[in-house]
Amino acid sequence: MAVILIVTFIFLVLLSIPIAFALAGTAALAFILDGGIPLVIIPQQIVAGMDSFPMLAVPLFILAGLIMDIGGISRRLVTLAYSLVGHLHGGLGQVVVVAETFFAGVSGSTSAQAAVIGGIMIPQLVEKGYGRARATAIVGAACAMGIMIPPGIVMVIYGVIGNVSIGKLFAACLIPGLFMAIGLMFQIWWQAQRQGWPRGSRETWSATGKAALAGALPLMLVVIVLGGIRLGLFTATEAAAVAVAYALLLGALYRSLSLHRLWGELVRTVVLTGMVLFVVGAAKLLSWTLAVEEVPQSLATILVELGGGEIGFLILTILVFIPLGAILEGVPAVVMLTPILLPIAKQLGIDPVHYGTVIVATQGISVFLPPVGVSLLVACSVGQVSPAEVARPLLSYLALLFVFTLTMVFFPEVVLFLPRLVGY
Amino acid sequence: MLLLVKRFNRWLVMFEKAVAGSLLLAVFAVVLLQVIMRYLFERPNPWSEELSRFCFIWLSMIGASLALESQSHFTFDLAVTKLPYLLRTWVYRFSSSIVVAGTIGLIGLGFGLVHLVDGQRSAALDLPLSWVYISVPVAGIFMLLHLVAGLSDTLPKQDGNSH
Repeated sequence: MAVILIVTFIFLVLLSIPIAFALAGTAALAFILDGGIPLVIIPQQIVAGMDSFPMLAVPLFILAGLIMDIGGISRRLVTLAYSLVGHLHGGLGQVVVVAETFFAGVSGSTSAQAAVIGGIMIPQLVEKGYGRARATAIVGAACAMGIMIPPGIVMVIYGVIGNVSIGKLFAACLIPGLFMAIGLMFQIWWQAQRQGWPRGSRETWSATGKAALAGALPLMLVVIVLGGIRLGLFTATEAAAVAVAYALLLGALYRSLSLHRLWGELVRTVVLTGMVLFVVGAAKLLSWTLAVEEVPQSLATILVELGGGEIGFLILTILVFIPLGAILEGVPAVVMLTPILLPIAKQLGIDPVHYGTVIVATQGISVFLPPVGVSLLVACSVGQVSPAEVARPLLSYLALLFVFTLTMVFFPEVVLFLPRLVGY
Repeated sequence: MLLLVKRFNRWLVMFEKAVAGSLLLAVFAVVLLQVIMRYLFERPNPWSEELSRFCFIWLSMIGASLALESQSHFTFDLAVTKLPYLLRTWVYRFSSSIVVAGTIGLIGLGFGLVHLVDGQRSAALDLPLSWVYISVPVAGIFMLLHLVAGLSDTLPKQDGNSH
């Protein structure tokens, strides 16, 4: 049965049927093969997948991010990043990484993020003398890293599906995310020095001060969200609503919002929410079906007998997630696999927070993996280069991120120490 | 006839955007109100969580319909775009008929579910649960209309030049 279902799913996906429909169709086939389950469970489970208060953080964080984009907040953060690191070797390349660290988390899909950041940064990088392939690779690498900076949509979705504390996941991703950012900056600095990339001029102290002042209020957003959740002032969902209110407030302060553009961002959020939640609903249906057919249990038995223990299973998870994320995008991959794999991870004694962090990091790498990574293709179309040209420079950055991910696999403390420190 | 369907479809898209955009605003307002009520009035709001969840379900379903219309659902189409033109056309016809069949199934089963929960009411707001579940067949009908309106151009937009 499991084999028939997997083949059906792959067949439907290859035919370019939307993944949500492929998931639901596969589940429907399982119902028909089984014969005993009432079909009305199909819509019931799809709704059950959407019926979650924590999941409401998804549209609200997406909306907050979009408002920040049109509200002149992103621009201020780029200016701040430029005045901080612009004068270093490979300065503008490092600006991309720093800017991405500032506002990475609040975006719905990595592909959308790559389009936004690429649209702002690639023209600037090219103007300063970077090659198109190099510029696109840097943007791709920064976005692949940015997925680790909280608050993140993938973390929220993993937390809801796996019933893991979202605040704790945010805290766990922060340190490895920052290490990845520093690692990328160092790598860019090193390459720039050896290959003589252009560097910007040092800003005067007063200009830096001005940029810092302008960037301070936008940066407070992350502090409010993470701090508020940790202090128990509000839940992750409420934090997302507060983030929207704060972004609106800043936009009003900077006088850069118009009702017309706001409405446009509302509609964009709705479409992104529909994309994400329809997959979530369909995946909930399929995982319910698989549970009835006891597929996860038999899979668990096989995998546990296979040996390898915690590390082996984490490596296996990475090996499964990389191709799936590259083909399907991160959210569908996480939504499909978490209900199947997380119970096995728990059985093996892996901390669910640790497991989720590894998945989030892997997912960032996979969506940019040449030659088919979905977000890579988006970045390439923004940068007007072919994936083949970007592959070489990008792979060197992704390799670094992969090394960091492996470090997280072998040393869970890297991930778990901050949540413990702040008392989760 | 086709023109009429297309015009109706454009109107429907505008309608869906208006409804779903308002639902998103409502979700935002209700969740924010929940925080404000708790701190300013020290009175937790018993119905806000349920109301925002119900709005969210409707918003997700309509959003899914809009995403189908704008062809933005997560899709893997790299394999199909590598096929020769004629074969690709047939694959697209085949896959869109599967999606059409899926939406018809969603509509039928959705109404079945609405019928099934007839008489059940929600815990906090005492609303009929059918008001929530009917979002499935309604969004299904929207999707079907979008698909029918889009049937004349069987190929996605970016392939329009290969004729």
